Amino acid sequence: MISHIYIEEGIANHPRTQTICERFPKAVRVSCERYGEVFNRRAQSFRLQKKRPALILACKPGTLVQPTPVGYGIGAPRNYYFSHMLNCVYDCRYCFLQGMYRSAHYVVFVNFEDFFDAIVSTVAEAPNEPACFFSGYDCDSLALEGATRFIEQALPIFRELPNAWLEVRTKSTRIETLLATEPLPNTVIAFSFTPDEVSKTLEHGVPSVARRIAAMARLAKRGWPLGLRFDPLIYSAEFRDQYRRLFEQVFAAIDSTSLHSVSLGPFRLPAAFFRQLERLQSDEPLVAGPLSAQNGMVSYRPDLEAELVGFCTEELLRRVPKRAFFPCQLPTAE
Amino acid sequence: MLRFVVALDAEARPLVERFDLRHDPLVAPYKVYRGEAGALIVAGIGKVAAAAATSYLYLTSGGHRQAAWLNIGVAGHSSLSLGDAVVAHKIRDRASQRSWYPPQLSTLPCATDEVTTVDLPERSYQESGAFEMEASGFYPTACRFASAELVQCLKIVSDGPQNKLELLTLEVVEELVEHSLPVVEALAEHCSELSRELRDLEADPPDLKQCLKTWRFTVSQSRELRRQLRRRQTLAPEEPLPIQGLQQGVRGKEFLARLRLWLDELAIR
Ligand code: SF4
Repeated sequence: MISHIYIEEGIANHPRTQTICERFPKAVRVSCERYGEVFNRRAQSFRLQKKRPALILACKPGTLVQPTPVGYGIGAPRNYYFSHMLNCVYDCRYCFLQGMYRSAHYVVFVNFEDFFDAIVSTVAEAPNEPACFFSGYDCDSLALEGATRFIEQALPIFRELPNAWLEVRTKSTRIETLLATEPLPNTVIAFSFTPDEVSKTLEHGVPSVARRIAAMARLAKRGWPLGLRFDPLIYSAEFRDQYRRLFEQVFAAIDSTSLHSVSLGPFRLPAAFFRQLERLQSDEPLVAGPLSAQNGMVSYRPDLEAELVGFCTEELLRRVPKRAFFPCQLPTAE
Repeated sequence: MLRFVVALDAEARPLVERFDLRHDPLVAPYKVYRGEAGALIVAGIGKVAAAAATSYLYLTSGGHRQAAWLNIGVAGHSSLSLGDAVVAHKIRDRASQRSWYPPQLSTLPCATDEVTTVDLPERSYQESGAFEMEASGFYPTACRFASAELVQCLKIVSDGPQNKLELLTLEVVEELVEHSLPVVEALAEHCSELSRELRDLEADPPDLKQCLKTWRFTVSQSRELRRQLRRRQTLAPEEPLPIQGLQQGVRGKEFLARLRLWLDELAIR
């Protein structure tokens, strides 16, 4: 439960600030000049703040849409991401956000319209070349939708941009907005999964695999294009059984006509982020695992990673066409 | 491990008694009290005095980075009643216009509020929130020595539009602090819990000291040793270290390589 909401002075009277605050009527409101005064200061502990994060409402200036790193995409020639929110209500032990920020508070940038304008002008730069926009790069796209309504407001924008794609990446089952909306053929609702056993130990606070699958099935029935994201792949001695079971569970629930794309990516973190993870959760078996550092990244030992990726790729390609399969080598929050 | 910073003897007395602290006669420039629960310093009035005393207490109390720092004191308030306690969710220094935001991670038996640090006693009470003279000196200084979540200011209302500052006596100050001890204790308990959690996270893994004594390590090898011993704590806490055949005096590098290999094998079982 949010106990304190920090509000940048400049957006105190923004209608969206008011609406979001109304959803947390008991929260104490504190005004600040810039969100950076509260968020990510030196001498803050992500782990301690994760016990009860505050909400920060701010305005994001500057460049709002960024090109994704090379190798990140689901089929479009141009790929971008945006972060209308920083941090996440869930607590996945592998999440790179805890390596990236010293603070676990949730930051919501209320200037949604500026994000939408940036998306529209990015599309207009090359109107004949499809562009894909990834939300959920620094957060879970749906988990706080009940309070922010960002996706609800983004969908009409994408309805007018047939040459643009939106990927809504999530582990949340808060799909009310989507069920209430006429599906868009250019919006992919992408669910991330790890096997049940892994999820239970590493994905704290996240809806169970079964609940996510059930949510996906409802969206498929409603007609939304779906994505499956097996990212990060987590190694264990039983990974073959675990992933085989997961794939069986998932593909039994949704039929291939709903499926837009499937991607996978092994566990990988920039070395500096990983060191932070080690500091924050030194007793976590994931951190003590068979990892190695190469070229500034920490990942599973190359032989194990190859085994893991090879097995999962083979299993997935037995179930999905190659054109819908996108292996990825980069870390993402969701 | 608590560190209390207060301005006045009258604020210190109830805390010293409740937390069972004893006067430390070896400390000359300040009155410092110590006990199992932690330490307390009487800083004197004003933000500069608070900052100096905070540093002094840190340096003379073992320099622990996981201690919880609490500034407890009386304050004026425009609307709250005498004896009400508030924890600062924002500290504003009126002179410099700088602000700090102590993270609020628990449900305490009192409200949180903005606390403004003033250089001269506040008598108009026209702005909202609490007014006092130490928090903006204490907070940023203590944050140099501890994570911000462990640094909190608790202010007890002693004066306001209906209770003039001129009528405030040291006896009343002492009574007000005494009356607020349950809130102080709740805050102290909460901060101690966070402090313990950080201490556990940052604690040396078993056998680190012994290994450092037995073999020679460079600085970066010592860091790596710590990391590998932590892995061992997670993967095989009961297993003895793989040191058979290793002589005392060999380079730490050899031991590290052996340790890493052993743990990598354990990690894939
Ligand atoms: S991995 Fe995704 S769902 Fe998990 S904590 Fe990070 S952003 Fe949230």
